[in-house]
Amino acid sequence: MVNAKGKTESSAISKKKRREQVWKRIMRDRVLYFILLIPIIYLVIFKYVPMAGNILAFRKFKVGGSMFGIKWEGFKYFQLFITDTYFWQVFINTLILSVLNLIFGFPIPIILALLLNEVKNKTGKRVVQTITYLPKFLSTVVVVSMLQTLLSPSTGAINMFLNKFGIDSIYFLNEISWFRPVYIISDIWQFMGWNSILYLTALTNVDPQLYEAAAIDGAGRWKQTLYVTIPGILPTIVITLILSTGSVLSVGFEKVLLLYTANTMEIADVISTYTYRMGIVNSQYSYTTAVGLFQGIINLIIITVVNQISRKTSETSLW
Amino acid sequence: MNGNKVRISTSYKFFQIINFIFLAIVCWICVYPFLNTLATSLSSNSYVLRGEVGIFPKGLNFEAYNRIIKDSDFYVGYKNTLLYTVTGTILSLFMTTATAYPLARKGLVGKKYIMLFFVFTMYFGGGMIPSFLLIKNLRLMNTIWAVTIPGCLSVYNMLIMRTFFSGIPESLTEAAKIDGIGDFSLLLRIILPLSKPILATMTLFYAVGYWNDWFSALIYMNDSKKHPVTLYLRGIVMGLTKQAMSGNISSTDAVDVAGKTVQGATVMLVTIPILCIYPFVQKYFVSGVMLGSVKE
Amino acid sequence: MKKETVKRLLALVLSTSMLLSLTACKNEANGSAASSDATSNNVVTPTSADVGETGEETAPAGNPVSDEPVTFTFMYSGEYDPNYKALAKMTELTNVTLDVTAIPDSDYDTRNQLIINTGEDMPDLISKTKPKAAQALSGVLLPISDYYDQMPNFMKFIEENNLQYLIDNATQSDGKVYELPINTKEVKTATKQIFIRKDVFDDNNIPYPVTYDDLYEAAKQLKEIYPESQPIQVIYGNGNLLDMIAPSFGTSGGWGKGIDNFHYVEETDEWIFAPASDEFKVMLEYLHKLYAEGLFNQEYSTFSSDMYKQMATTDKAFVLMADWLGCEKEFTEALREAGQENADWIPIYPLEGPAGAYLSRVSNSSQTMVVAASARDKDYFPQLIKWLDWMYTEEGADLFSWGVEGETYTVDEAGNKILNPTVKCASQPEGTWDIAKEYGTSNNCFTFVYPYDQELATMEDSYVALIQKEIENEAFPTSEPSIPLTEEEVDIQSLYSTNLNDYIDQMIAKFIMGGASFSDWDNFVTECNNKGADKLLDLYNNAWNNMSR
Repeated sequence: MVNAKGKTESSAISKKKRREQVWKRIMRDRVLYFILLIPIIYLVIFKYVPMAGNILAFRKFKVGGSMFGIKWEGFKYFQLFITDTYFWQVFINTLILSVLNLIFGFPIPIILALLLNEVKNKTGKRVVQTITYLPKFLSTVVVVSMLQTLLSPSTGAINMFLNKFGIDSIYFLNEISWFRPVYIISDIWQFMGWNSILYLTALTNVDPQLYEAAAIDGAGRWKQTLYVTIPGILPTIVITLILSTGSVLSVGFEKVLLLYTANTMEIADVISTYTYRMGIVNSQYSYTTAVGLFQGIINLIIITVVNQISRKTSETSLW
Repeated sequence: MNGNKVRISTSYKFFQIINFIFLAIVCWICVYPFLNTLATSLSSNSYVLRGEVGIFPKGLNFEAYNRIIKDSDFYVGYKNTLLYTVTGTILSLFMTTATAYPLARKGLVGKKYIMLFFVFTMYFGGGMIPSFLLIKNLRLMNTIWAVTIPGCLSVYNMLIMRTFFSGIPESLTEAAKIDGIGDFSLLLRIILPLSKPILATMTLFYAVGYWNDWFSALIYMNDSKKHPVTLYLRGIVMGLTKQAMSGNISSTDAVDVAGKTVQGATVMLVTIPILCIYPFVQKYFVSGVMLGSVKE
Repeated sequence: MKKETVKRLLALVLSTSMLLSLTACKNEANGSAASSDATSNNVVTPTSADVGETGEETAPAGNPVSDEPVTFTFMYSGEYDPNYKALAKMTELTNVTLDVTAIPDSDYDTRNQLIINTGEDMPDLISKTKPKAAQALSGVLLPISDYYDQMPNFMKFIEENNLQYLIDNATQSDGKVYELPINTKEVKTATKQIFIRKDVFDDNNIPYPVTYDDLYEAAKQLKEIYPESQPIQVIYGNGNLLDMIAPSFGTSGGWGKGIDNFHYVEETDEWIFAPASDEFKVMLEYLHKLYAEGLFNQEYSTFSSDMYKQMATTDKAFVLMADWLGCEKEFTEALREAGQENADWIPIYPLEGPAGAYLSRVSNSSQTMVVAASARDKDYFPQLIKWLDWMYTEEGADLFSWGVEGETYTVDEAGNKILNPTVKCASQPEGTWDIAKEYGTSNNCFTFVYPYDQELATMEDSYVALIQKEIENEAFPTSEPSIPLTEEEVDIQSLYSTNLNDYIDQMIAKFIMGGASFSDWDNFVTECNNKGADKLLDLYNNAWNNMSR
């Protein structure tokens, strides 16, 4: 119907129909909601209730005072860091480090998984898998200590190697231009094995029949990888990528803290380490809560945007 | 992997050789630190100090291990760790599946909002102190639940699991529904058996997480007899690193710092068991899991 | 779980102080909650010898502390054994048992800060803690100074050993003291010394350095003889290095620096900004000279202790600027096992700089502990005070240092204590058992007093002469006093503190390593003021003058 009255009528009817349909679907899935109930209760109690503590970002903290602060301060603490030029420098540092880590570090575990996939020998494959994920179990303290030993200008293996070719020793850990590469490469080394586990699991979900079909069509192994394997694990890749973008502002704390020196601090300092120094030294807990909120909001915005992009361009998205 | 039916080209053979070499190098750089740590833990202190220990022990002795093994705290700690890890992992598997499975269902009403509800918690937390107060007020302090419940659902892991469940063809669900099978039975009898790889992965992720978690015990466990071994050993390995950074070392401290041999021994003792989980779990990483269940 | 760990670490960093209970009133809630908790099974009937009646030592014929068995909750840092024999003896003597929560050293700070900041569930006694001004003034900690009149032994101990400055430095802006000194030495000594390779110096006829200039000359010679070496080494970087040499140059730095790099000048009773002073500049110039000529550890800002030890055990280092007595022994041993039979690291008398020959600044008390305010509401509170007081008596002090008479030591006719010869320690390396492990003596948490005679008895003979000479010549300068700040002052301080200190650290490293030139010194000073140095100068001097002392 075209006239106004008719239009309202039909849309009213269709609204009602839609609501009925929705209710029907809910009833159909009611068991699922029931199953979801326990995790949701858990979440409310253990995650959302403590979140109330974030109100401290807007209120003045006093030791022994209420968890919610003793006095409303509004945006005072946010102003403190927003107007602090050093904070923004640290912010940029954090972004750059994270993004670089993402660009270089993200593909490596995938490649490793694909390469491992090509190993025919089952035992060999298992051995390699187990060995590559060993470094994850080293604590940050131990890793940093190893780096210091390895990269020492006077006795480190790397520099001794360079010296053989007549190259002067480089003081890696004290050079601004080397901080990021050292950080990222050591991260890659430490986590590539562990991170590849996920993709290896994803690979098991790829239907072997597809490979056979492709082979029959004349595709060599490389083409098979391109057209069968990668699309097969693409959802996992996309989800992991989206999730990684969501922690861009939270990069490294202990590792940066142990690795930076007075010399490299201007590009090595990240939000978490700066806040640590501010918070510990000065007990500005309202301040640190405000920074935490800020980080959370920005991370959430980033991940939402990335998720939207992913939804439009591929079929996979978080929500 | 396919293998038999496909003819293997020479360029592929060449690639396999390169691959092998490359992976061998990767393995070497990953395992070397551990060989070195193992060797250090079995060497005599003097060689270690001089930096002369490579991958073979020098001045073989078991002093470092003796020192730890003689300590009853070590065994108590180990028992605790095992207990917390097993309990926590089971709890987590349950929680994560209970969340991932419904959220993987296409067309679930309100899915988007529920998802957001979960994802939101990844970015905003209450922090250490509100969590501490919560556990205290729930009277969970100093119990096993304080170290297992708060972290039992990792939204990150849940999202991974959900992705896998989403990958299971809808036709399977539909076929089951037509046969009159309810969601719950569907989950238990059909979906889960098909999800062995992801369950294996989740087991691994969570087990490692609980095993390595010393922080929860630090905050929630008053009784040192309930501390996991990782906390105990962290005390030995980290020792005074933090105090050294701020200069808070008294004279008795400095001479007592655990040598590298002891540190190496602790790394070995805590890491080796958890490494053994992986081979167990690996046998579930079998492909062809979907084979034969659905005819497209 | 990776994300979970990251988030947790972040939460630790960012929110190290959300607060109290989810109920509104906390102090009362604390009090009642504490006593209703079954954390202490105390049976307390106040004794007739109630504390504080006469202000004198009210020791009745019975127990000096408590007539009835009493238990206090105690938070402890490090390795702990409930079977420590000294603890058992203490219970025998005082009827006091400690209910100990032992937290590893490595993360003790996290736990104790959490407990104090929330004020929740506080154990009566929290060891190894220095209260921050905000915490002390908040009311969660007990103002011990209110009870000094009930602690005659403690006051006597302070007076006899001239330790009033400890109390002065611990006074908060409200005039009260909220901490007790532990690990308190009767005589101020420190075990951090300068070491040299005796054999190398002797073999090459290089005289042992007496001044810092001598050190420079000696290092130059050594570098010529051993071109691969970096003769002078230090562990733990700038913090340790400056801590050690600054007093000899007439200033403070590194770990020994005063609050925010301000230095207290006793003669004029005022605070100055140390990095801007001439003395500081001279010190940095000296270090730069050493560094530029390759005489000094070229990588000390990133030096892991592994590398340091490696240098010390191969012929790469010949002077260790700041290490602890006893640590050099394993270096000597390692060298000898490698074939150098004459290798010998020995400590030498502190080097003389422009201001004299000093070691790093020390306090008689290297640790402090706090008492929870909630303890006041407990029935056994009088006994608690008495026990704290008792720990400073000779009986209490001896128990946790010498041990138990007849078992770990004996007393001769002259009244001197003799250590049991089977005890293994630095002075008796052939000993068979470790007194600290079995008895819980020389403990960071239980040892409130370190008697001088015990220190000497356990110290290796070769060190005793050195330490005594240092005491005679007053080579141990006092640590910088602390300035208690009010809330408003803390607010101002936190505006500038972090950025200023970061800048100073960076510039120190640059000056020493050559990244910045000394001709730019004035710019450095100006920039420090831009970052708030002058404002802090006023702040601290005002606060200092206003202090009720």
